[in-house]
Amino acid sequence: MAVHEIFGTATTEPQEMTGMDEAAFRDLYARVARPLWGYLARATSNDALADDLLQETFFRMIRAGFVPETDDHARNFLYKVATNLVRDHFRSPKKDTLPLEHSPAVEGPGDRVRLRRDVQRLLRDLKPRERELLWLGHVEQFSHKEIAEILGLKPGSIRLLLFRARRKLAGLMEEAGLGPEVLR
Amino acid sequence: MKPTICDKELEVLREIRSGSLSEALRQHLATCTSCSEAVQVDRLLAADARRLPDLEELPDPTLVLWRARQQARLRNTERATLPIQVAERLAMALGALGLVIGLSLTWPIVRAGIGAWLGGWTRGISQALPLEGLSLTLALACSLFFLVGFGLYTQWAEG
Repeated sequence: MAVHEIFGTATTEPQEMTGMDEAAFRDLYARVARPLWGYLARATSNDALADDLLQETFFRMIRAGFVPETDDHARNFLYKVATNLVRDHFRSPKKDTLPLEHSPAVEGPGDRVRLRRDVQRLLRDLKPRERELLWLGHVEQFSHKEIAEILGLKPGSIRLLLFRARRKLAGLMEEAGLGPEVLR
Repeated sequence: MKPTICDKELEVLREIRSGSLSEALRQHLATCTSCSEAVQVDRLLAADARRLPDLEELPDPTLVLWRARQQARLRNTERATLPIQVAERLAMALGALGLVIGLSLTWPIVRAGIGAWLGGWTRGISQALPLEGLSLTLALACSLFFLVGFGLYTQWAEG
């Protein structure tokens, strides 16, 4: 269903407000939204908040009139905006990180939910910065330079910070009995 | 032994992810705590990432587009009505200035008029209430101040 069918005909053309046309935006969203949501959900430990921040991230991209030249360009920009939003969230006095048991999006069938719950629990014991580092480095496989750019850190410090975060998570995994056999 | 950062870590991860770990790196992995932790964490996070919700379960991009359109419209409206807003403010400022100038020019007449009006009014009040002279003036000034304050607050709240 087209946007104007739901909300009425828009007097403003998409190009005017987004810098990119609607089809290009939807295409980008389809490619980037899922991994970006994963990053936000893990960085905040709150699925509902990840939903909000995901929308806000894309909204800010539109508002900035950002037109990506390549996929990497778009990814770097969006992850940077998302990181800033997460940081703002943790800085603000009103933090609404829900207890895990009340986080609605993790309710569902099967081992998919169980593992996500376990990972969520483990990551909760890490600092937001450590969660961001691990997700960007291991899941998104960004280079150290890109991670530094996204997180606003020095490229030379990423290796050590990643190492420390990984050590901490590995320790938590061991305590929780999440050995290599569980993950295969 | 406390593990230290290993130089082969990226190479190990790259090969593990591609599914073809060379024999040399396999042997290294068996003895290197840092690399084995890296692989363990990498597997955990990769498994978690594979279990993320599908795109259809995520917020609809239509909402983002709609919000952007609303804001663009608002911005356009603000831009279009800016001259009107400027003219309104200018008119208010000129009106206030005119009032001040008018009052200062006609102040003796106004003061005499207010005095005569208040004189009759305060006589009536002082008969009903046990207030006299300064107390009565203060009470009237406070009431006037309160009314003006309330009026300004209402304007602000509505605006």
